[in-house]
Amino acid sequence: MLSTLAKILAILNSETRPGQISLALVFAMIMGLTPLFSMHNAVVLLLVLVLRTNLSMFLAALALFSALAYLFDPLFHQFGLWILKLEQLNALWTDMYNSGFWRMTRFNNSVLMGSLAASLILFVPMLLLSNMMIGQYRHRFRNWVNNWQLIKLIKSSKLYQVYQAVSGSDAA
Amino acid sequence: MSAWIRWPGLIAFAVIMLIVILGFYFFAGPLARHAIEYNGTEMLGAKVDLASAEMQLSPLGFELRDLQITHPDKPMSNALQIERITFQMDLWALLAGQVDIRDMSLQAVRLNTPRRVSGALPKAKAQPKKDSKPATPAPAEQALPKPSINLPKVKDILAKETLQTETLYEQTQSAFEQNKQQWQQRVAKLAKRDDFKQLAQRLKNIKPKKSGDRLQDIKNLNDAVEEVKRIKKQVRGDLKQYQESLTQLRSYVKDSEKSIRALRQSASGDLTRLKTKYTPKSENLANYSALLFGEKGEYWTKEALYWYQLLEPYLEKATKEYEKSQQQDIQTQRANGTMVRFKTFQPRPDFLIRKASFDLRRPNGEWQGELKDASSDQRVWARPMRVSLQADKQANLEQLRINAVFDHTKPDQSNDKFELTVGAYQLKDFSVSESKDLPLSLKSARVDLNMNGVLINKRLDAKLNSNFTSAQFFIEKQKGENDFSKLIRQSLENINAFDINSQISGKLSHPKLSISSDLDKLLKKAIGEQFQKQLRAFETELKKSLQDKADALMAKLTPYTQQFNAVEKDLNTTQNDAQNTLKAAENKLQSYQQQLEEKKREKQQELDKKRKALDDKKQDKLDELKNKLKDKFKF
Repeated sequence: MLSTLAKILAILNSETRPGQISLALVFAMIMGLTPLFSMHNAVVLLLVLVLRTNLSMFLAALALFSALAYLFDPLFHQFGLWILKLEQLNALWTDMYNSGFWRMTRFNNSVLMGSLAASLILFVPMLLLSNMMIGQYRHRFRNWVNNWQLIKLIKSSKLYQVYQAVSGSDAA
Repeated sequence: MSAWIRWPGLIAFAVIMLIVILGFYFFAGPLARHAIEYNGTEMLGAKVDLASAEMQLSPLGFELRDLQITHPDKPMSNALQIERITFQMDLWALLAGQVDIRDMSLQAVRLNTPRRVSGALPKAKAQPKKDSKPATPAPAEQALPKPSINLPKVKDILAKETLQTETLYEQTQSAFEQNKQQWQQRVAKLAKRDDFKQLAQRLKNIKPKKSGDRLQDIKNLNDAVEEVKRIKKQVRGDLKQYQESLTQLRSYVKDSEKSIRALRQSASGDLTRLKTKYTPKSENLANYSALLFGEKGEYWTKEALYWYQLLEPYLEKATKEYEKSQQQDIQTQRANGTMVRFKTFQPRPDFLIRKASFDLRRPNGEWQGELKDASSDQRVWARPMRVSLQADKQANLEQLRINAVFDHTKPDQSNDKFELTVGAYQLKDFSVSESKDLPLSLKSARVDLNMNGVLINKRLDAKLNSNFTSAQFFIEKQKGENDFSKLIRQSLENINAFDINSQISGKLSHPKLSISSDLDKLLKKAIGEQFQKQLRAFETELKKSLQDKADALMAKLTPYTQQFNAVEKDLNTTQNDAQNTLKAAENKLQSYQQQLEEKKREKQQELDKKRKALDDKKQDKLDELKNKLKDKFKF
């Protein structure tokens, strides 16, 4: 049981480069901020699984961004409404609205459009920012965090030891 | 490349998608079943049960089995039960969040079926969204008015009523008394018969004496004439009084005869008045059919309107929800987002049933029905919803046609129409009235009816024409039933054909129902025929009693008239005597005047003779004197 769990954790934490972690984070941002059962999230899930992204970070960030979405939904609604009502894009939206496939995506929902547009706009900046922050963390704060009692406690657990044996790396 | 690509991730993704698709495939049915039960219960306020729902992929469709919709008021009964529902849907519409059902078939639709398990909902859910269904009217409250047709006893009427005859009698009797007193006073002042006899005797006794002296005779005659004149004057004076008194008496007699005639006529007046007051009026029976059938008519009208009001919100649901969503407060919008709509090249409402056919299983056969263009937004679909139902040659029904069109393509100008035709429906044991006084039912009847109506902008105008033939009314005989109920019962039992027409109009919330029927005329006629006999006996008795009373009163007045007549007779006799005396006096006067004239003439002749003799003598003396003178102075 512990061994299986450790293997799962190892898989989840297998990609540890900053870029991989950041990518997981931004994909989680898209999936977390937008309504979960939207069609585009299938694409995001595919990318998350196919590209070497850190799955732990993806899951953790997904939870975080899903929580944040409740706070930002009003803004996304306003933003999405603005985008959908833009005169310049009306022809595009009309064509998409008359297509069964695009209707399926529910693109004309204000919250979905606003959150998706916002997360796409934030995709690159977030990616670069998180990349930079991970680098800084590893450089400046990792040792300090490793000295926390909580971390020490986790590291002294049997699960962690098995995990270490399976993954052959330090999770932090 | 492989540094960035995790090939097993593809497999993982494929597995996840497969799980989702398989999950959708296997759980679609149960999920659909749950959705139908949950949403159906919410919408109708009554428990909805579905035995199973299976999805078919190609073509996309569903098969639902044993749908049961509980009757809102009877938890152990289903308002509707459908054995099997199959329908195909448009896949792309479904993926776009729209339900477009191409063809739906409902098999074995049944109404009012029993349930094995109670369909009662918890109180919070069970509250109806619309006005609650009309309760079946409680019989105790629906007492029919009882126009009283109990004929009272004649003696009771005469005892309590103030009769014109009696009033008139009292007035007449008082007048007679007054007249009598006046007359008696007057008669007392008149000369009596004896007085006239005395005068006649006096007249007779006038005989001027003949003395031989003409002058004396003339004087005596003169005196006699004067006496006669005096008597005549007196008689004339008395006679005048008599005439005046007789004139007045005759006017009294005339008045008394008039009063007696009026008394006789007042008896007829009393009869008419009492008949009018105490015999039942025909207005009491006017529109009785409205009272008999109105209760049921009102109930069925409300029932129909109740179900329409349940349906009505869904005729314009999508439009209203969209409009509502545009007006929703920001917080609600923010939570769910707004579905912004764009122009569609092929407009389609969010929910649409293009065509549904169903067969309704009734105890005596099957009815076939069809529903077309049922949509959540007629404004988008631009077609009204149509429902038709028909049945032919059933065990208890020759023909049934129901056609309805619900046109809400212009929401501010809704225009619903319906038409119902029933041919030769065999009605059995139909309760017409549950009133305590007159529990009336139609044991059997053949009914032909036609009903059509329109509902324009929530104003209803509907007409029903129905014809009942071979009708058999049944009224349970009640203990202590009054005459009226008995008559109605007897009359209705003889009626076997009638029409009922009704009109429902007004606002949907409070329509006005009016019912008319030739049953009123038939009832009046039947009751009239049965009742006339009693009425005639009553009238005869009343007439006789009033006549007897009038005769008795007139008999009391008779002595007065007899008295007046007797006095008149007496006065006439006395007057005759007076006239005779007067005539005798005139005759005597005339005679004496003639004698007097004659005597005067004779005396005058005598005097003339004497004068002539004197004149002759005088002349002789003169002549003699002349001669003497002549002789004396003769030259």
